[in-house]
Amino acid sequence: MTAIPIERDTPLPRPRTRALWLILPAAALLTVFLLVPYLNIILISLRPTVSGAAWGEGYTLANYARVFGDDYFMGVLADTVWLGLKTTLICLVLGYPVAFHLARTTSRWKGLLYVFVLSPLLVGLVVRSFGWLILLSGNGVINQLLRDWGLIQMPIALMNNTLGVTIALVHVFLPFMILPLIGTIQSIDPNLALAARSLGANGRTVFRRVWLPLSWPGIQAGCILVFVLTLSAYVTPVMLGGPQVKTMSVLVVQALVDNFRWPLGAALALVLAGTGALAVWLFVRAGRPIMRGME
Amino acid sequence: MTLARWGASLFLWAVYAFLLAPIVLVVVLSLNAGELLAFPPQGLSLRWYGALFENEGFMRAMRTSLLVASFATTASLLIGTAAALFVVRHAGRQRERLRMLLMTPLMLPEILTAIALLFFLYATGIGTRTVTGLLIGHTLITLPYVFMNVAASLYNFDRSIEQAARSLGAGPLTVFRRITLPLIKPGLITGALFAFIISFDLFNLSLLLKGVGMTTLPLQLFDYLRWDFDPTAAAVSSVSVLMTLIVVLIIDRVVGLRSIRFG
Amino acid sequence: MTRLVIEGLVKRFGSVQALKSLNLDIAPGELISLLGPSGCGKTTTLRCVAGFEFADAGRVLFDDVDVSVQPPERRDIGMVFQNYALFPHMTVAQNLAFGLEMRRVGREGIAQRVRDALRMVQLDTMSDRFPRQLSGGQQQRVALARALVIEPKVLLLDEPLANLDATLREEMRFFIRDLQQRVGITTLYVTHDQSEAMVMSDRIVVMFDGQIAQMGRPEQIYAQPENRQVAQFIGRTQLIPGRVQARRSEQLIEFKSALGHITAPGAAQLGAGDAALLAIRPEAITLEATSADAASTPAGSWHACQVERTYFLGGTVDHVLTCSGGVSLIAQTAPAAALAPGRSGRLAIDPQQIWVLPEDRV
Repeated sequence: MTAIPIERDTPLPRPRTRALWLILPAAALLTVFLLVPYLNIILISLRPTVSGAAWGEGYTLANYARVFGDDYFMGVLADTVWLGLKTTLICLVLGYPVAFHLARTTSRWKGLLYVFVLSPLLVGLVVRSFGWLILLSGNGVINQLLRDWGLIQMPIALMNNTLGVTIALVHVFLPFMILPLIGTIQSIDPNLALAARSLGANGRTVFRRVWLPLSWPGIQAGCILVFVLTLSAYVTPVMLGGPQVKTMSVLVVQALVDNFRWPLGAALALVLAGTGALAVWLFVRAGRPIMRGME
Repeated sequence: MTLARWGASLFLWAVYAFLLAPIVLVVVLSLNAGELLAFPPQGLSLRWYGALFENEGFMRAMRTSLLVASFATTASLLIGTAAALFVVRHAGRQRERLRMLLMTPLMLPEILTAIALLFFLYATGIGTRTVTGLLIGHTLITLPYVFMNVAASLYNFDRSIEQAARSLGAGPLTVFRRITLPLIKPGLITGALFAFIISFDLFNLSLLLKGVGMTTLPLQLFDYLRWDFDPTAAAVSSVSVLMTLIVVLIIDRVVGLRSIRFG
Repeated sequence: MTRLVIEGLVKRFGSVQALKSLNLDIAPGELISLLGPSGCGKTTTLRCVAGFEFADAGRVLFDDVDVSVQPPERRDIGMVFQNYALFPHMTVAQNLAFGLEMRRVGREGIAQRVRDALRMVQLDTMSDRFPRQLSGGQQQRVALARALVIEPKVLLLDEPLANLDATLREEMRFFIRDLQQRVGITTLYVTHDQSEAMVMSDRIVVMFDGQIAQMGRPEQIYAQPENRQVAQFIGRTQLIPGRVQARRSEQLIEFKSALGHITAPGAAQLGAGDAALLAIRPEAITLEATSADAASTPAGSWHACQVERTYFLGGTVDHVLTCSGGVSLIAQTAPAAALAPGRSGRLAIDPQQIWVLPEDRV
């Protein structure tokens, strides 16, 4: 009953190769306008800085030497990283409870609360910084209220210092911490907590031994996101930091736009990015033992 | 309720208040009848919105922002949907790697991307005389948002529905038009709205890539605030807030806010 | 009424051989079941006929027309999916209309045919509902109507009843079979449920490991399995190893096993000396309590046995028995005639209801 298998003489249609057209525009966009410019910027950072032209002849490492050798630049870098760490930590402490609540609440206000969390994100950087300006400035809302209630005589400096910048940055980036966390917490099987309780664990232990470790992917994602974004924040430090507070991004823009020293600006920007990448890498490595349990 | 519970609730409400305070404040101030940005406002009035519409600088900036945002959204929709289709359905083992790649504009510091693009534009002679650089930059930044949301709705897509359509005689293009597209509409809409809002609000990128004589709304507002401190700025901000609110409401109606993806 | 022929179908997925040169000839109007465990290749075969997979070698022919390289939309098939695959964004009527629109039927024609199709599956009142408003059984009927309204050459069903609960499944079996016979459409039906296959099919194709193990009418496959795998897959059966003593006639074989000598129908290719298996289905065994005078062992076919355990199944009681020679058998009785564990009994095996089949060559 077995017939001889007949080999095909007409070729089969090949869907895989036709599908490649789908990715072509995105690939082209990213290669031409992201990859190439980034390579280009690395090249430019290796050009000598001159006045009167965008850059000079030949290649040199002088810009990097300048950046790493200058106390002022290194100081600003350290300040920026420190600011990033502070902001990230505060966002985590404030954001985790909110995320936990939002992920697991069944209240009918859930949608509204989501709007509350999302709104800073969507409303606009300048608008938000502006709002903080009004709140924190010398004759801003907070100071006025405190004075009206007789709690202070002179206005407190809530602005034009790192405090004001930190507060505003936390406000800007808090949603970026909350949203990934919500996703991760929602994906944790609630039966695990119930199982732990049935085995005798109390509320605090359940949180410490079940919820917290299992939220690690979300915590990691949120922290990385907030840290990286804080490092490169520009508008907020400028608007709320005044002339005293300088972050690396401010220096970069200064070098580029105000002083027209492109190679130096490029070097500064790349050092900033490199520092951020290094910090993230160390963070991920440190968290590896926890991640190994999942995925 | 126990004390701990009360404390926790208080904490949560404090954080929510923290998130909303500046925004609410700005809106309230824009309705101030008086001259200064004082709180509490001295009476309610819409005069500053009137002033806004007469301010030539702001109006022009608004038009530019709308133009750029519309272009970026459309471009991102087309490019991002195609990319999402490829990554979810045809990428095989490269899927995660491609996903990461498409998310890089989000991961890289915006200021760095802006600088890189700026240099590139000058190197290739495109320069910043035209709005081209701005359009490219905005498209680049909004692409990941569209991609993420469309990919999310494709991940959960039941392929057998498409197969059913083919078994009934529909060719691949018809299947896409009449079956796939309507069913991923939520992802498309969410992605598009996100792209629009993000582009409208972009600052760092616009700062570096704008040419002489052109400006976007955030930039204009920023400049304005350095010199003038009247409620016109608050009015501009409130318009932004209103736009956002409308967008969020639409998203909620169409898909529910829970389905918004953030990587 | 289309004749469906599958010639030498071969399909590989990476290093796995899903189909090893499959051949099938389905007469017009027949309902053929592809029956087998998961991974046997039945779904792959169906998908090759539908056009969702392209075979590495072999052909699929609808009425002598080679459709092997044609995409699904050009083969004129009707397919019912396991999860129904109804278009969620369209009403029932729109779902049904879709295939007709693809065939450029005019609006009048569509409305008429959709109405008739809905009446055929008894869902006339549901035409403006959306799939999510229907129950599982209703959705299944819509899927069926959608596949039939276009009057395709071949009807393909991929485990359509797997997601329904037991009672509904039984109802739907009859429903689908009736409909198929009334319409007279050539049908390929994939299932892993052997009772389903037996109820519905004109012929059953039992598949294992990418190959056809046996093909034939349900009664044939049930009563005369050709090898161990088929015997164990269909119905409940017990296999007693032994050896063929002699061939008594064209049908009858003399067989020796731990149960002694028995003469029974057997596979045609068996000859004296061959290793073989005796397939005994529970209904072939009659179990009785031994009467008080247990000494009277009746001649011939009665075997003495001891009841180890019993299981109450509602309409019957299963008895696990140990017989002479250490053979373990399962026999059924009505609850009223059940024996208690530990009792002695005797069983008779009906030689007409057993079958000798070849032992697998290892």
